[in-house]
Amino acid sequence: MMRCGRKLLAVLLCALPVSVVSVVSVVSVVSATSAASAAGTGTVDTAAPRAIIQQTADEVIAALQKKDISLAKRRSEIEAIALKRFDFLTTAKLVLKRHWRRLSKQQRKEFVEEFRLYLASTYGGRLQRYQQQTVKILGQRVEPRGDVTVHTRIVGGSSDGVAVDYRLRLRDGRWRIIDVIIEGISLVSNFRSQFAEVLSHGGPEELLRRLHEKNAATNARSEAGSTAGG
Amino acid sequence: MTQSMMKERSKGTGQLALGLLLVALAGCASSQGPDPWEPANRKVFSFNEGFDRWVMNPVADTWNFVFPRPVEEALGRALANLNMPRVFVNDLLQARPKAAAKDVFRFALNSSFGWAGLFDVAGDVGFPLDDSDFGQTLGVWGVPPGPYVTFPILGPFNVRDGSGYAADIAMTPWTWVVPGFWTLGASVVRVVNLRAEADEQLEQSRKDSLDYYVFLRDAYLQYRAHKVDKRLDGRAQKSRDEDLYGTGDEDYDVEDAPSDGSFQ
Repeated sequence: MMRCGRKLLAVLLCALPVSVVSVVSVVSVVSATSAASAAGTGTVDTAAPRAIIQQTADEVIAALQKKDISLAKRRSEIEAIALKRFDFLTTAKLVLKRHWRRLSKQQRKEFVEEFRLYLASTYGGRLQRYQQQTVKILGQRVEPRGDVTVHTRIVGGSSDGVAVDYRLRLRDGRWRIIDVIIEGISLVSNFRSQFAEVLSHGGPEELLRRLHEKNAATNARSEAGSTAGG
Repeated sequence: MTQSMMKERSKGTGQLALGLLLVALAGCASSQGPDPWEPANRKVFSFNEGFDRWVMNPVADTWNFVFPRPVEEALGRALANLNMPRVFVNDLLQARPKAAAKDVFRFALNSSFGWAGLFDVAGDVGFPLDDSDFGQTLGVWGVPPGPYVTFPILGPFNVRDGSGYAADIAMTPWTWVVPGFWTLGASVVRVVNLRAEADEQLEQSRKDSLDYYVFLRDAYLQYRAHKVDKRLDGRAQKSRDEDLYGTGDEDYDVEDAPSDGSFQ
C-alpha cells in the first residue's frame, strides 16, 4: 500500500468506509438545477435523485456548522441524516447477495440492524476529520436496472478531485442511496467481499457476532471520545 | 557519473524485463478467483502490517509532528509533478495525444509558476493531474489483471499492475540520471509523506473493517479495474453492475423482509 497513488491513499484506504459519509462530510457549493420533488405525476421522476444528493449535502453542512452543540450531538444528527437517506434493507441484501437466503428470518432482521449501526457509526466517526471540502454535482445517469447514479466530485482538501458516485433506487415511492462508489470502488462490493470471507468460514452466526462486536467497540470508543473531547 | 548512469540504466532494463515476465505470468493466470495465492499473501500482509506499525507509523508520526499538513501536501504535489514523464508516455501508449499534450503543458506550468510543482497552478486553471500508468496501459491493450499478490513493504498489486509499476519506474527519466542513493531517498520521502498524510484514515480503516486484508484487496482490485475501464468508456461496468445490483428479478428481491415495516 506504500506505493499506491496519492488518490488511492487519499480515497480508498482512507475514504472507503467514509464513503457513506462523504456525501455528507462535504460542503456543497453547486446549486441543484432542479430541487423539484418527486411529487406529482405518476411517471418516475429521475430529477429527484440529484436533488436528494444535493439536499443531503446541504443538511449535513447545516449540521456541521452548528457550533453550539456537542460533538456527540452533531454526530447523532448526521447519523440521523444517513439513516433517512440510505435504503439499508436493499443495501444489506445486495451485500449478502445469495447468502441472504441462508439467513433465517430472525437473522435477517438482526443483520439489517447491525449493518445499519455499523454503517452509521463508521460514518459518524469519520466526521471528526471534516475538512472544508465542497462537493460538485456533475450529472446523473439512468441505469438499465432503473436505478439512477448521481456523479459528484470532491473539491478541496486532500481528496481533491476524487470522483464519488451515489447509486439510488426507487422503493416504496422513495429514492434512497443503495451504494456509494469512490473512484470506481463500490461500497457494496467491498462489504460483500469482506462479509463473504467471514460467511465462508463461520456462517451467518459468525458474521452477526463479528458485526455486533464491531459496533460495541465503536460505541465504546465514541463514548470515551465524547467525554474526553467534550 | 557516466558509469553510475550506465548502472542505473541497466537497472531500468532489468526492471523492464521483470515487468515483461510478470505480464507473461498474468497472461496465463488461472480463472479461479482473483486471489489464488491468499495464504502466502496473508503472511506477507501481516509482515507489512507489523512493518507499518513498528516502522512506518512512528516515522509518519514524527513526520507529522515536524511538518504541518500544508507543507506535506505541497511536497506531495511536487513529487507527483515529477511523475510527468511516465504519465506522458502512457498517455501516448494509450493513444491519447491530447492528454499527453496537456501533461506537458501542466508540467511546464507547475514547474515554473508553481514553484517546482509545490503549487498546482495548472490544476487550478482546469488541467488536473492525469494518472496514466503502465498497468493501466496494459489493461487498455487487453492484458487481464492476473492474480492478486502482496509484496513485502510495497503492498497490494495484481500481476499486471505490479509489472506496470516496474515499467513505470524504468520509464521515469530522473531515476536514470539521479544516482541510486537519491532515487531511493526520494522514494522514501514520497512514501513517508503519503503515509503520513493518510495516517488517521489508515487507522480508521483498520478499526472499521471486518477483515482489513480483504478490505484492501477488494478496494485495490476495484480501483485498478476502474482505472482501466474508464479508458474503455465503461465497457466492463455493465457486467459488474449486474453482479452488484442485480437485474431486477432475483429471488432475494421478492422473498422479503419482515412485514412489520421495521426496516423502513
